[in-house]
Amino acid sequence: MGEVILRASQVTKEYRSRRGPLVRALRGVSIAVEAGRTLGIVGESGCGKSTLARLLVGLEPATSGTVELLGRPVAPPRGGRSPFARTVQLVFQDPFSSLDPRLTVVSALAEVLKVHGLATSREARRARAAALLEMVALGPRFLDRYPHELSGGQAQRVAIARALAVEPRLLVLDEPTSALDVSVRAEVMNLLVRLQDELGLSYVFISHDLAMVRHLSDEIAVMYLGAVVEQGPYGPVLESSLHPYTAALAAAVPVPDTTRHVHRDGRPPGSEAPPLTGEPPAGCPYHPRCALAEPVCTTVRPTLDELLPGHLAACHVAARRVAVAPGAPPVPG
Amino acid sequence: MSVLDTTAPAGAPPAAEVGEPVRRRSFGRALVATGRGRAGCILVGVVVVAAIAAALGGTPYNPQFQNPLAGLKAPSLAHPFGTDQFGRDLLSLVLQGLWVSLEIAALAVAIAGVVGTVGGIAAGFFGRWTSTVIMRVTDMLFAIPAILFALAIVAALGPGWLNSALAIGIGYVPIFVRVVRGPVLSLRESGYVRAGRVLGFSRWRLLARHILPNVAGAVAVQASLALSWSILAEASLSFLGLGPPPPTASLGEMVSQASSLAGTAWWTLAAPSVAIVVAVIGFNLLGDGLRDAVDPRARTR
Repeated sequence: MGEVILRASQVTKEYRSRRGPLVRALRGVSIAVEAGRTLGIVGESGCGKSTLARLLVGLEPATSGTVELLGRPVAPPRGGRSPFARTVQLVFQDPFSSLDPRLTVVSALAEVLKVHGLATSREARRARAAALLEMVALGPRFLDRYPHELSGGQAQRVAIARALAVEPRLLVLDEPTSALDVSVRAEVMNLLVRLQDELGLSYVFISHDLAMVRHLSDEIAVMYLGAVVEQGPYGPVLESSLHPYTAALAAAVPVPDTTRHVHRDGRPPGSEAPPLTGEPPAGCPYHPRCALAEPVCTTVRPTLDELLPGHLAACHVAARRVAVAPGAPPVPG
Repeated sequence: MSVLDTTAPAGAPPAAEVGEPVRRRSFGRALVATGRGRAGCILVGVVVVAAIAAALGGTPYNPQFQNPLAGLKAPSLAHPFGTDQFGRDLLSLVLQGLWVSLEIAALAVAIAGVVGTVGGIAAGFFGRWTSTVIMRVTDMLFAIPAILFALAIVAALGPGWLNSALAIGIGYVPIFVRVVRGPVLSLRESGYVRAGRVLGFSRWRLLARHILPNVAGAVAVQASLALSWSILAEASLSFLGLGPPPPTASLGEMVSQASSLAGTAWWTLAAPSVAIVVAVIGFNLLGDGLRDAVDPRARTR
């Protein structure tokens, strides 16, 4: 067990609007990331992934629960600048909106270096900016470009270079490839893999796409309506999912290997729109969409328990099946 | 950890990156790239240069010099705009009046622009209370027509150069507040301001380096438009006798004087009116040109 960089414990986040219902975006999420490892967070739109990302980097305060970076609690700074900037950085989904349209690449990078006193002279900052660009496989000719003169993939690399400028320990990647062309995604993913190897970074990789997450992740947490429903090492979570929602997500990934056995539940995922606002149904929040739902699922909310070693799930049916026959596949095809 | 297939090795730049060098226009070139921008630059340039020349004493005649023998002369080579009932050269008077108008309008817009921009940024960036107070005051000012407001202020403070500027300027503050607050509200939640917060930038750095420059364009456009309205407002005030007191020449007052003479000497009305119209149209067109030019995306071909 390595050093824990980030730990979130029972984090909840509620948004209260003047009119309209209380929105509970996160309902008690606990995660931990070790040094040099990657935690993948998967879930569909509206499950609270991006809210979690903002909480992890201290952009917003948690309603309750704690987020700790290297053992120190994270909270949004009041007025001043964040003391956590050197530890954790965020890479946004849309690279263009995350870059100031009026700053050239070198100005954007130099500003970060200047604020944190990482390079004192103008020349030193330019040289460091060029080195940062090289790290993300962009040549020095990009230094003097404006964001709108970059392609999506190039802009995302610049955003990654800017995040790396402060030499953070942890990068929170909020769907870093989903705004990019499919052809560019692989490049950015490979870049992230290489950077992790070279710099020993830890990642929290957030995605709605299991296929993306599994190329990087050591651990996976699957979120549904603001709560983690399954968590564990990426192999077991994907290959022998305990929670029917994970199984449905895994089944939705196109698999080129026709010999592989694909789990399928009765209904395709998304056959019933998830309740995005307001309260989820009583009992298990997934039961209206679940093919395995039983009477107990409509009344009792399952807890996230360690059903197999290191492998957690919040599902009544899976819990019973694992208890009865530990060797059998938890979710039948 | 597995690695996805990729068409290019991680170290090599993809083909798309090897492009021709980026070509950009300067701001000035972008400004004159459109017909409106070009026309605005020319008109404003002519008006401003002529007004400054007049302020430095570069008028064909002394504007206040009265020649009773040459009263109400039609335009001629000696007096291109003709003369008024006192025999003063109308061209010289118009130029002097233009300078006075520009001076007042510029000060008014400076007041409105600075106060309005600061107010708009405060309303957009800081908390709910600040915003509520500023926006309620703005709404109240908005409810009163600017010219009526200016009239009331000048009536209270007395006519004069500074009071006119103040009166007009306060009337246009709400417009700048509105123009600035909207973009600031969206910029505050924009990706790059959030990114700046995560990167550890202070609030003041975000305001000064990322929010202000991104609303500066909108402010410049609004300032140009406000200059044109201010010239009109100043002319209206002096038309009603609330402008700078005589003997200072004033375009509005000249129009007022000419209204009884226009039947016999049309040029006495035409000269100041044309000056007002040219200045107003010029600043309007310049505002349009600025609107196009301040967008950095418009400057890359």
